[in-house]
Amino acid sequence: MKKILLSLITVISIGYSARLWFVCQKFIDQFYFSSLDLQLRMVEAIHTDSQTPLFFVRFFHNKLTGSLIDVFRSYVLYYDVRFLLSLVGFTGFICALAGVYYLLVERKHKLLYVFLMLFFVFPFLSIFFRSIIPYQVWLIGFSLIVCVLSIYGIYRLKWNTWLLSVFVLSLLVTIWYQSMYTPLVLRFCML
Amino acid sequence: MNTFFSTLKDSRLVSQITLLLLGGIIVLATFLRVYQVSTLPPGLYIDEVSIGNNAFSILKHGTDEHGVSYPLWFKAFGEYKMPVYIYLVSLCMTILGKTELAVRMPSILAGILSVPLLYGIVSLLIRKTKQRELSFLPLMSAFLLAITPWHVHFSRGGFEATVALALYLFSLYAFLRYGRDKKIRYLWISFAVLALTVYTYNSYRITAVLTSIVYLGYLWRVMKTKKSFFFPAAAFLIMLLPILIFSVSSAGTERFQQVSSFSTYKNLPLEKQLYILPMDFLNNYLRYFSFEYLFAVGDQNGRHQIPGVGLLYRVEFIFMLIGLVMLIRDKKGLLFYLTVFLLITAPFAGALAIPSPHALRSLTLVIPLTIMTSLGVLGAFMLIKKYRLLTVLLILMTSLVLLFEMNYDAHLYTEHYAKVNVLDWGGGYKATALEADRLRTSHAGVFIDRNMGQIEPYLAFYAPHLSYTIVDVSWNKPKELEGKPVLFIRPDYHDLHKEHLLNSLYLPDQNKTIFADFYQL
Repeated sequence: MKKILLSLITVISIGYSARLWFVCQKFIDQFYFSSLDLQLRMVEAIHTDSQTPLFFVRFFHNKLTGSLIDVFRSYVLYYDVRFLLSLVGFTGFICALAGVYYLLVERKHKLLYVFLMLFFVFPFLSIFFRSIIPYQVWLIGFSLIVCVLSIYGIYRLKWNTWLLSVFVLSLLVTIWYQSMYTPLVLRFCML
Repeated sequence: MNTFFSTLKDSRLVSQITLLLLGGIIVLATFLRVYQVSTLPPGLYIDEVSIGNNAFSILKHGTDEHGVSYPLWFKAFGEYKMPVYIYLVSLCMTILGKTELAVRMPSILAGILSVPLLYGIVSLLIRKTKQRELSFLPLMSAFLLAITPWHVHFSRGGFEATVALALYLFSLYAFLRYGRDKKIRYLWISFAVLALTVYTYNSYRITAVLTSIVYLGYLWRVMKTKKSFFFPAAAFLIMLLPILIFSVSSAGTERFQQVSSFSTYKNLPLEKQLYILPMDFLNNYLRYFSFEYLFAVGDQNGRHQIPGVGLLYRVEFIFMLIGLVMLIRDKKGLLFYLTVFLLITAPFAGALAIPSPHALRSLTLVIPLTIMTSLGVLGAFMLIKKYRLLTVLLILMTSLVLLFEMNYDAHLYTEHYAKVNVLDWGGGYKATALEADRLRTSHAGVFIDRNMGQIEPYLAFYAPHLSYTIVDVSWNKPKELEGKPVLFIRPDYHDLHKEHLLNSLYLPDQNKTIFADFYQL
């Protein structure tokens, strides 16, 4: 019963945090792969390398390397602590971390691995297919994955007074963070 | 892999191979920190020049630039600099003279020394572990620290933070040695060196205090007679007294006022400050754990890293996460406690200031992250050691990606950095000073336009015998110098007719920007 209640509170807190995101139109550009940006950067880099042997210029500044670097940058942005906190709040974040941890360490509940896999693969889809599927779908999808992971975290954690205190504190901080610090959302999305 | 471990077990060969490998790592660390260090980063930046001038003045006259005899705080550009680095540069100047290398030498040496120190610390942290594979952790940590762009870059510039970090590591090492050998001299060394970090770099005013609290807490728990650690702790406090007094003075708080993230809100009512300031701190603090900051773009200060490159190698990302999981899973022992302590406390000082994140103020963070990544590397191999092919593939892939990243960074550092970030490192001030010095003998006077910016410290460093006058833009040649040639140095104002122009000084950037024009009037 306690875990159901905690899960419910967590889901509500995630919803409370995610609501701010619906005023946005899309994530900021860094969340997506842009071949135009890449091309411009390549031109600039090659221009700077005007006196370098051509082999090295091509070896270091080519579309494959550039794309990998850009995709990596976008990918890690989806796991930015502040991005996740502003998306799912402190409570959701902490519980989801616990969920990921238990899934990785205990290797039980094979079905939940689908969510873990989605958690790691989802950003790739969003990075490349932003124009096909609307932003809101990505937002809801990602929040739901984190939601499931956090509920799993709640079920796996061995709750004691200390953990409950952390939970309550994280709830308070979530309310504080989300109500007082709205502009943070604007760091990651465009109105 | 198992056979390899068992062959090495209980063998004297192990220590010899370990020593050999550590030696190799130190050689690599030295090469990465020394190669072309006088010219890369491209020129001394303003703080380095200020340090150099003060150090030289101390060496020659026993006073700082302002004539204060052997000061504890050095006044410089609206703040006070900590003394340790300046006195160390002074020492280096006795051998190397007034050179760029002398200004950077303490940082280089500290950067190199940090590698074996980390090796020593991690060795002491894992001494009770029963996992054979973890015996490679000290070497792996040392290796990663030796090649980490974050640490390499700051070791190559005249940054006090690198020396402070090395001292901090030394203090930790001495404290751990005390924990193992129970010899009181290690405790004395540990506290004394910890106090010294405070006099080396501002951030350690917070880090050192937090560390001392942990030291004392540990000692209180483990020591039967409390008075045995009373004296080292008291000595630590006495050593901190001057800085405590200085910190509450107006001069001491000046720097904090300038960079404090809270100063932005000082005009807000108190009740608003009460809920905004903690949130602002939390927000700043969390920025230090952003993967984008650590692996992709850094703090975007051109002086702190190569643009477009993170503070750590991208390939370390996955291993760092594995390391974190391993650390939490085996949450017993000193390795866990010390790494988590460093992870939590390292960004504290940086989070109090703006801009945030700040790679220099949070340099200590490189230590727990390196330990975690090393743990992750070994953990990954432990996970797949049963599958030989997979192990070989992982080693091959990781090595290839790491090698590419190292070469990519080296290419950007040697080919791009000097062109793109030349203004972050003093621009053309050195060349201007040297050119002015060369031309001074053939001119009756040297006049410099006020808009040349912070040229004066550079002139003091590179052309100490040059006498010059700083003048306004509207300056005209004085009548008493009529008929005599004078040198007038000014920025490029894009004049169409540059009559009397002797030469122009160009920056090595792609646009061939003119940094200074030299006129003979």
